[in-house]
Amino acid sequence: MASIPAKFIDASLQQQLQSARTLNCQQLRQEPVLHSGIDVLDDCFSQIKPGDVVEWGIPPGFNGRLIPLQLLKHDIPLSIWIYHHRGLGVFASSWISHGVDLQRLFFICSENPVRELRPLFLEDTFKHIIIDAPRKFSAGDMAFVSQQARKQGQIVFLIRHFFLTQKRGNPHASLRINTWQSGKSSFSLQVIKGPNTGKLTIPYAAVAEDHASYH
Amino acid sequence: MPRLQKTMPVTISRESSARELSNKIIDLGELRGEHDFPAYVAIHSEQAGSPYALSPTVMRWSENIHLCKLDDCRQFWLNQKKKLRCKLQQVFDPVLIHHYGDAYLAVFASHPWQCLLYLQYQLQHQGRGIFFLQSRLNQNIYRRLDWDNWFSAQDKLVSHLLAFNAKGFREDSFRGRQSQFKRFIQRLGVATPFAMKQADANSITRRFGVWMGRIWSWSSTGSSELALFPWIELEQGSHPCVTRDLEYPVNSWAFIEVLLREDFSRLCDLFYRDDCEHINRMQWQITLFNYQKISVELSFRHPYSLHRDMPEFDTAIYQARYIYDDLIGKLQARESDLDLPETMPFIAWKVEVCERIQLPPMLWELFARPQDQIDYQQIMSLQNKLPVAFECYHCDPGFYPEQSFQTVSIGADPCQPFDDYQWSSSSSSKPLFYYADVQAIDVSSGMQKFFLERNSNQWWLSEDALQSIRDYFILKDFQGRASWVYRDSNGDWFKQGEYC
Repeated sequence: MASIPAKFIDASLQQQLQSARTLNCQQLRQEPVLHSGIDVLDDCFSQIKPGDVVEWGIPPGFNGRLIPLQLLKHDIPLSIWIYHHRGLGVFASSWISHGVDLQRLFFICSENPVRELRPLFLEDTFKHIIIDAPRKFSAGDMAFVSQQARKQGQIVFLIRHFFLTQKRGNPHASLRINTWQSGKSSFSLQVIKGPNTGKLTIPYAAVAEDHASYH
Repeated sequence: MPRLQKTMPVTISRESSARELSNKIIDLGELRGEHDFPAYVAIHSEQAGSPYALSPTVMRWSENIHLCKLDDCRQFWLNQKKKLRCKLQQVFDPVLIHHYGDAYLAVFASHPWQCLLYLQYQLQHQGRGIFFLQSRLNQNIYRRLDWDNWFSAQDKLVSHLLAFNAKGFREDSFRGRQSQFKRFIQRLGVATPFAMKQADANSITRRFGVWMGRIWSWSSTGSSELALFPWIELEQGSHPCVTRDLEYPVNSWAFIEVLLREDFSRLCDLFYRDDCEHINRMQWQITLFNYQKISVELSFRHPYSLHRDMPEFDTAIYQARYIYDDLIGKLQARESDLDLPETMPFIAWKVEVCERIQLPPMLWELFARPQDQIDYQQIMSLQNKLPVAFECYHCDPGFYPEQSFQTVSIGADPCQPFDDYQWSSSSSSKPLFYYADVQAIDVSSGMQKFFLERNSNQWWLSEDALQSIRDYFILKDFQGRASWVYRDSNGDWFKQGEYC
């Protein structure tokens, strides 16, 4: 039979609660797992921990993928980007120019990742998994990916090719966020679900090199 | 155990400092970044060792000489090199010592004939160890090999051509051509074959026959094509094989999986549990309900150890599952017009190990753990379980987008180290995904365009330098979606990427 830890035996319920809160505070003080160097973005992702799923709404043509990319730039663990864009391939030089370490970020093409790449979700080889606009991704797939992420301490980014709304929620995602390039000088972020919902703006120069010709 | 923990860091630091030291020494015999991975190796050893030390594709040239086709395991060896952070020579040397002892001689080159020629020269000079023919030093020596070397190596070749039953080869006629060739060079006074490098294979063929022309071409080719070289593959003895005759016809994967797992376990019992033993290819011969036999292949991107994967055999089971799905899809398509209740079931099968390679345990052991924390072994093992390969990229010096990077194997080193800043920084305004096949588009005057750059790559190679000019723009459609487009010198527009 399991015994009660010695420090809890004589303590009152209130003391136990206080003790539990202290433990929680210690957990909260842990270093954030995702780091971009952009304060606004880092604040937004400070609560994300291994096992979490982040859902992104990024329609094509609005350059929004540059935002999740910022979180894959600094000392990343082994990561995999699963993509499937009709006729499009990875333009590696652009990724390198944005500071992504392609020795640690691998790519794989799949339209139905959970069905086609099941072993990838059953092992913890990759600590960050980015599922970019899968053609087939059911609610069951979502539950499976989320469960595996928790089990193996992985962070999963699920990128949708449409803007997310609160009307269609996702109980498995701890953060849901829309991103797009607004105009020539900034990126917009709209947090749909997370500790602080609302709209945020990041200057273009913080994300990519400023190009005078473009602006 | 505590003793091991104490001694381990010392061993690693000694090992790594030795590596660092050896990396600092300029070794003219070592391969450089721009050299291709050698496709073949000829190994000479007095000691009988496993011929499958470096590859499952092997030819026995003579009692003491084996030829191995390294190309089949190219990615695997490159990954080992990356994992151990050392030169290719340092990867192969312990493996060859493990199999053949210290007194081996191995010559790596792009063609088996070149391996044999240089091996013979090194044997005459009591050479030991590893020689890469592509390296500067060995290439210089190779170019100075004399005619005696060149002709004497052909003696053994003749016996192989006869055994191979090479089309159009007759020994007497070949010997006659040889004598003719010898008289010719005597008259000319040419000292070495490479002093006559201006003579191409066609002119040698015209004067001295087809086979002399081929040998001439093998001696100097940079290609790994065998080009009718008499390659007689060494059979790998008995192939472990298990058969299963089913009590009832089955076509559901859930049942097949369980039975296959049992069969893999039986297969393991058929050959001695040896950590060296790795499998490249297995054959799965399925007998359908109509007694049609279909053979499919379970092939592994990286050598796979069946014994290490016991008792689940996940990797083999995944590969079998992909093949099963593919086969069932094809059978359903074939029988869609027939009035059959379900897909044709299986009534029997046979699983046979076709290709094996002997890899010494040192490649997997504790001290071979990666120092940069990237466990390539784990990545390779995972890749073996997937139907498609991972994509890995390196930067390349080129301004044309399609020439600015290249796909590489996992863990491969860049061909030639260079400062990639100017190349990579020019790509920061370009999209993350691009069309490998550009699409011609119409650009209406109302669309917003933002000029990015004028680009011209290797204009000095084209006849019309203007043809290589491209003007790149960001093009926005009426819904505000941005594409990456360019206009060529004719004023035609092409879409090359999307700002996803």
